Amino acid sequence: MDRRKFVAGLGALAGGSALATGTGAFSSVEAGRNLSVSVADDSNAYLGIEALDDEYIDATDGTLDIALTEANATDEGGEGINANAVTGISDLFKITNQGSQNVDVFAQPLTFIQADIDSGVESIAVFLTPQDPDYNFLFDVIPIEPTTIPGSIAYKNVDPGNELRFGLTAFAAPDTATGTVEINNSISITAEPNAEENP
Amino acid sequence: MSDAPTVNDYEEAAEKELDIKQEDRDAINTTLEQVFNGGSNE
Repeated sequence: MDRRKFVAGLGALAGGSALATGTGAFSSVEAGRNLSVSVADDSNAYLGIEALDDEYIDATDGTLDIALTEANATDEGGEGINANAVTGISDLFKITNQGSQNVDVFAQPLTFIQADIDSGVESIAVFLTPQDPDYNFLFDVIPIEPTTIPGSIAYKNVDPGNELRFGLTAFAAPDTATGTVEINNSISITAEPNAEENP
Repeated sequence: MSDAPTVNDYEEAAEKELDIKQEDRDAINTTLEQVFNGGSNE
């Protein structure tokens, strides 16, 4: 700080002090504060949802879509999972507590099942798979829809800055499942303050 | 520390049997454990 700025600052401080001693007691105080709430891109929100593997994730509009499809083909030309096989993909995306308090995180559904209505034979199953061996997560029951079998997962007391990683396990059968069954659904991820840490 | 999820975990969550053959069920459970521990097979 140069001398000119220092003198000006000192003068403002002295003036403020004189005003404070002159007004005495007060009956009420009203302080206005601006409140601004905005919706951030998933990667920057308080509940961060971020891709770990761009090959299978489409995040072009700021929200995260898991897409194992022809429309989101891999660089090597992959356009979907194999029929009559089990596909496992780790490190698809992560959820990060980017807030300031401990939270409980819930994700649902975890299970997606689709069968061909006409034949009843071709089917595809996708299991959203947690990858955090050190966390005690809980599976839970939620209502069943006709064509999907949902389950939910709960992580209790996630510290600020901590991450929860997810992969995917998928199964399709028989060979004729190719091109006949597909899943197009959404996942709900929520967080709420942990009751014990934030009474 | 949690155990890797199994097909049973997902079934119990849904309270409904998945119509998957035992040999496929075993393969799914193996893959679930792989993914849980950070592996992939794609």
